[in-house]
Amino acid sequence: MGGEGHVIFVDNLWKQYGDKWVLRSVSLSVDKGERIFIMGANGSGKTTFLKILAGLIRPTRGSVKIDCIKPVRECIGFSGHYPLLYPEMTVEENLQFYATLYSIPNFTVDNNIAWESLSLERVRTKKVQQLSYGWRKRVDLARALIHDPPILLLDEAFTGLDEKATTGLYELIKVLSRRGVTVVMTAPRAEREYLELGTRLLALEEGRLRALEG
Amino acid sequence: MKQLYALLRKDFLLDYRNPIGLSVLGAFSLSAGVVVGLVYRNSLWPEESLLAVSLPLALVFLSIYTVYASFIRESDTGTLDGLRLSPVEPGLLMIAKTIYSTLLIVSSSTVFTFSALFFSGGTSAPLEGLFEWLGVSSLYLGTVSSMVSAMLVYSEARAGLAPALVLVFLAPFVNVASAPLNQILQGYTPAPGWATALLALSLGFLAIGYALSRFLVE
Repeated sequence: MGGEGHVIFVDNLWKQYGDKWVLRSVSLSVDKGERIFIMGANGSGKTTFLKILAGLIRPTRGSVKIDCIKPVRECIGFSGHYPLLYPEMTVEENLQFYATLYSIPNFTVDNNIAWESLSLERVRTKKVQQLSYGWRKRVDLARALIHDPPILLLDEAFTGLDEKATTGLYELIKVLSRRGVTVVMTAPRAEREYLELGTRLLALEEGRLRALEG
Repeated sequence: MKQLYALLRKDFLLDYRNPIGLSVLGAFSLSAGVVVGLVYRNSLWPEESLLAVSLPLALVFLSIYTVYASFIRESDTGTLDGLRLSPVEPGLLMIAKTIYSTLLIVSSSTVFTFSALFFSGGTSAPLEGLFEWLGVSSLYLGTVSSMVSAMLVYSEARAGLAPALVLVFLAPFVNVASAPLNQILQGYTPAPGWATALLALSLGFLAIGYALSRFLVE
């Protein structure tokens, strides 16, 4: 049995929607603290792959093994294209709600690791529906980190962020990585900042994963 | 318990701050009650038939509405994934949605009943028995609507399937609940055990929903 020593072990993953194969024999091993960047054009299967890792979608074939002491759901933080926030609730109410679901004792938003680096204090009492897409993404990142997950899955996290937020997230990911958090990120194209941030760069093309070099 | 409270509070807050759904529900219950009441005021039909037909019919409509206000709404806003990612058990989600749907159905059917009675000129039926029937029936319908909502959460054909499934699951309800409603409306005391039977049926459905929630919502 493979997977020993890896935080994430993906073995021969296939995913089919209708008659289209979105993922074809994807295998990947990720070590603790690694920062994996997966590039791929729109529709290349990046989101499907991350959602399978998060347990939101079942693969057609293959397996995903997450090595974690806690239950898998408490080990993974996931932030996708669409922020998983309630528009009618304020930023603070959203985070408090999720903190209760994760049974986090004595939670206050200021304790969230993303709170300061993503400058969320200024939108604390604002309803999510009043925020721009970029701000919603920032709040969603704070939601994904609410339970200090050892594995963070970010689907196009930099998309829609302004320069300041991009820098904040960039630094945040480095801090998390130093703490041993494993980060798997996706992006539609290979931009310089991604290349610098990722410890390993991969490309997803026509459902197949390959290492990027150079 | 804290998680259950948070889930219920969240649903209340969403409906309070975006009251379109509640307004539709309230407007429907009130106007349907007024229309039914006025029609009966000017008719020769016996007083007890006022609610015997209209109340179960109103409950069916309310149940179909709550199918869409439950898991399906959560899925449409994209927030269902947030709940699925969290460590909350799917069974607890099912219980929370059932409680909230029951509260919606019981409050809107009360509005319907009061407005129908008021505009028809009142009834001699004992209100205490009527509201006992409403409470237990609402729990059954809340359970059914939450389960149907979970069953159809990823279905593209839910517009047609939701009413069809609600009607299918209402069959045992009609069997058990129609006789006591008629007896209550005619001023008789229904045979003992009807409320227990309906409660048992509701809890049975809730147990099925709880057991299936892992496959329905996951």
